[in-house]
Amino acid sequence: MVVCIIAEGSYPYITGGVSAWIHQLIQGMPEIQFKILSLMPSFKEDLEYRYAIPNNLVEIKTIYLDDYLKLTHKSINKKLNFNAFEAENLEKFLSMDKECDWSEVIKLLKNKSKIGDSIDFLQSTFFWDTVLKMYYERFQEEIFNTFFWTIRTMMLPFVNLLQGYIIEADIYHSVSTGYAGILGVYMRELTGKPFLLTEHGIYAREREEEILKAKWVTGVYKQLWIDFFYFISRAAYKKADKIVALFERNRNIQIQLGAEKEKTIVIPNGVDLERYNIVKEAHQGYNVGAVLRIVPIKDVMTMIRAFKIVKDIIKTTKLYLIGPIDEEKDYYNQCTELINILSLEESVIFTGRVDVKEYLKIIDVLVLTSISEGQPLVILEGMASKIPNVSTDVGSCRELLEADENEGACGMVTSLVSPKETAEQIIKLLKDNRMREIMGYNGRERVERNYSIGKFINSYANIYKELEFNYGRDWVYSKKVI
Amino acid sequence: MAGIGFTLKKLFREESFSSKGKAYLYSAIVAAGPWIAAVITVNSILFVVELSEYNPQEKDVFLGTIVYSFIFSQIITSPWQMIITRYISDRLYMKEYKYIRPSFIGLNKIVFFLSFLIAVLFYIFKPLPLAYKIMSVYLFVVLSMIWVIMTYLSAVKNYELIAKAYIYGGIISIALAIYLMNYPIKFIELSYTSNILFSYLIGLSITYIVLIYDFLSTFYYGNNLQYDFLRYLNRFPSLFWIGLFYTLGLWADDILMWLSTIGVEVYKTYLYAPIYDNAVFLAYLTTIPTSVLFLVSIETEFYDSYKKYFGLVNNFGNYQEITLASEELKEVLYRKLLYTFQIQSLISISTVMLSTSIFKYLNLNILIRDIFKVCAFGALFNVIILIIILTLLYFESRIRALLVSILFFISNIILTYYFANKGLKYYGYGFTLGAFITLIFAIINIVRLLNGIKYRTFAIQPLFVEEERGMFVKIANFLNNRTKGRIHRSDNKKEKLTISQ
Repeated sequence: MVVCIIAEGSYPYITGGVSAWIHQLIQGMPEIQFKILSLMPSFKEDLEYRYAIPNNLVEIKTIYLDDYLKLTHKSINKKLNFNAFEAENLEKFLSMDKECDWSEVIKLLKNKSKIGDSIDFLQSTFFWDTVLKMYYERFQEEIFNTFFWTIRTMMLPFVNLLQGYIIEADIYHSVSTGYAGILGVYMRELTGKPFLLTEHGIYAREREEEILKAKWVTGVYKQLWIDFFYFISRAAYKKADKIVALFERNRNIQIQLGAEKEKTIVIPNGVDLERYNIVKEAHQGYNVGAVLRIVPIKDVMTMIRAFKIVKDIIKTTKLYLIGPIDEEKDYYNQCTELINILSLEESVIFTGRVDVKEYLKIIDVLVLTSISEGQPLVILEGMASKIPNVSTDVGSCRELLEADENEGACGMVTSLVSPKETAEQIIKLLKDNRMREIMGYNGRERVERNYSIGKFINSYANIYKELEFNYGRDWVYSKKVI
Repeated sequence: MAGIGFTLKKLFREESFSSKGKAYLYSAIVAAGPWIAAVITVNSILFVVELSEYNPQEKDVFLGTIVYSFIFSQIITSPWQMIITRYISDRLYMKEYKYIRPSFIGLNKIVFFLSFLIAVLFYIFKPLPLAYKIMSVYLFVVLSMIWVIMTYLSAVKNYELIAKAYIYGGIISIALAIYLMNYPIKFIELSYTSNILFSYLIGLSITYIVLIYDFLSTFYYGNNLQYDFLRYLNRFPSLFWIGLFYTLGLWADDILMWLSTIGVEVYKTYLYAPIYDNAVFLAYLTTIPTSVLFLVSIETEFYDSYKKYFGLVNNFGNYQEITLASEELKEVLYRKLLYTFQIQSLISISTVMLSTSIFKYLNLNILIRDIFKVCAFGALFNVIILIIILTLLYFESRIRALLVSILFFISNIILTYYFANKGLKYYGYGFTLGAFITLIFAIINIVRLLNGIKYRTFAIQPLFVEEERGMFVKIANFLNNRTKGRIHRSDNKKEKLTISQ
């Protein structure tokens, strides 16, 4: 069996939760052959693999959102002719209509003799007329130039994506909605093979938050971009044969956004229990640790401010920031500046890229102040290492840390962007050796019960089997789709 | 969580439209300058020296030299003129002034070698005296370089100085011709012709010196990238071909007529058809007022509505405002074209009606008059074709402009050839009919363009800036890098010198 994993802005080039997860999945199923379709934002020559490529990963195909730059404008444009049915479908597609028939649209866009390449299409009179219609319906008062270019900018990489190669596989597995999701839909429609969707966060929501804050897009165009991401995410929900969320809360959101309940399922992340059987090392004072990339979404600033409060009360505390610092240099510089202002140079340590396990031996409390998370592996790993966690209430952190019918709490949950609250919980934990020990124990228990790598791998192995079996049964149907 | 959203902003870019059209127009109109000046000067010289004794065959040699030099220098330079016009107006628009002067020097080198080579190859085995050959080659090269500098000066728009340069040059030519008629330089052969050619050359050289002084003092600074403009051969190859085909189309009928039965050979060097050439020449003269008229109207009302339209397009116009502005633009353009056409028709018809008495007064051949009557309408169509081609370029519709110029070239050849065999009565019909067909085609094109003007303005805009590709881009880059490398090396040398000191 060949599984093609479709990932956006992650494996194998960018480290992080999603990439680690993919790596784990591939390594966990040596009997399955994997292919990676990695979608990156823009072409770079010096992209490096950040992971040792497992033997059963047989192909890595990288495509770029700006691959359209390889196309050329022609002096004379292709004349495009559509019949009423095709025109209606394309219009629904361009105006991001909920009723858009993706099967038809994908087949049509792939047909270059009809559509030409993405330049032909976006320069066509058909596109022009459709955009005008949209403008008249909803945007009449807007500056036309901005409107037109927004739609073009939105559609150019997207249409180009929908004209790409087909990668042969038995199952297509996208690890987010968005562009990766739509590529999954694309492969499914053109090959008739099953399409599995796993979402770590809720892609459309994350884009929405990002766009609301963004400065590069203003006014009504914020909503237009948000609509776009919801539009393409809905397509993935609609067309996926199975939809996986990491935890219950996200599953409910997916259903709200249009996923059929029967297709959804929860499969949490898994941790390698053996690997995190860590023997603690005795040390002077207290060590607070955070395993993260130094990027804005992790809100490292809040963490540093919280640590200042901790440090003022418990003088012997140190903060270890464990993880790469080179992903967003500007943000890293802002952090070091803040550290200087608070005169914490002596007690905040950036480790850079290191073997996290070595540091977990000396960490007393793990902290997370992220603004957005799915189901953070770092919390699970902390739990497996019997270290209590203090985390903001994002993603499934509450579910992971709070007491339930099986175990007691294994950490504390705090509000977002609240240095004071985070500091209070850290202080509480540092002052109470016994509580730390109990929470550490609870964490290990919970991980062993519910978040083991074995369970995780088994769940996916079953889904893959099930999808392949169903595909076999629906063989006649699928052939028709082709 | 990983994702692409953050980087989307990088894809989001603003596009701006620029007005480059005006430059084409100026250069086309300014190009008429040398023609008018040449017609006046040459005819004045001939008129003045006719008073003295002369040999009619020698006069024909002189005319042949002038006609060949003018026609062929224009054919070899006009493609470059189109390219460089665009290059200059882009550089001026981008405020990259330091690219102008080096491109002028680079283009001059190319045109110099091209014209020199062609002239030498043409004259080398001809039975003319050596001194005359040298002067003829010189004339051809200087004329080619004058076409080039006129293109550049049209960007500067110093019309007064340009006019003065031609007037002074012309006066000096005529004065020198009169002097040399009385105290001729002793040329061994073709003494009379050599003397008038010599005086014409001196005047022309002075014109050129004034022009080049004007140019170099305006653009007194620059970088070293002399061949940077070559990349435009890949970026806008159609401009090159538009220039070439239009100019070839302009002279195709003449060249075909030289080969016909009315062709005359002078000194085994020049084959030409004096009757036909004269008629066409006079016909073209009638179109000069219209060209100036159109230039003025473009400068005023049309340009305002053009600016308004593109201002709304570029900045804050909603679609309704843009539509209104485009209607206004269309209305102004059609009105101006129609007006120009009417005025020119009036001029052409009146000259044709008056031609009998005018020709009688000027004591010109009656055959010339008959051909003129036909060609005057050809010239009328032709000037409108030119205006439409330039307007198409205004709106960046290079493909349509190219199609029009190719049709002009082809129809002129085919129809001239067809009518040339039908006898004297039909001379000029080929050119006129060809121009008429092309005019219809050009009108269809401009109407279609203007009907889809908003679609064109927005939807045809490139979606992204393409990386420049092609042979000439490579050549330009190679030459650019080489000069840059040279600067570096010389800089190093300087450094070493200062150290050793």
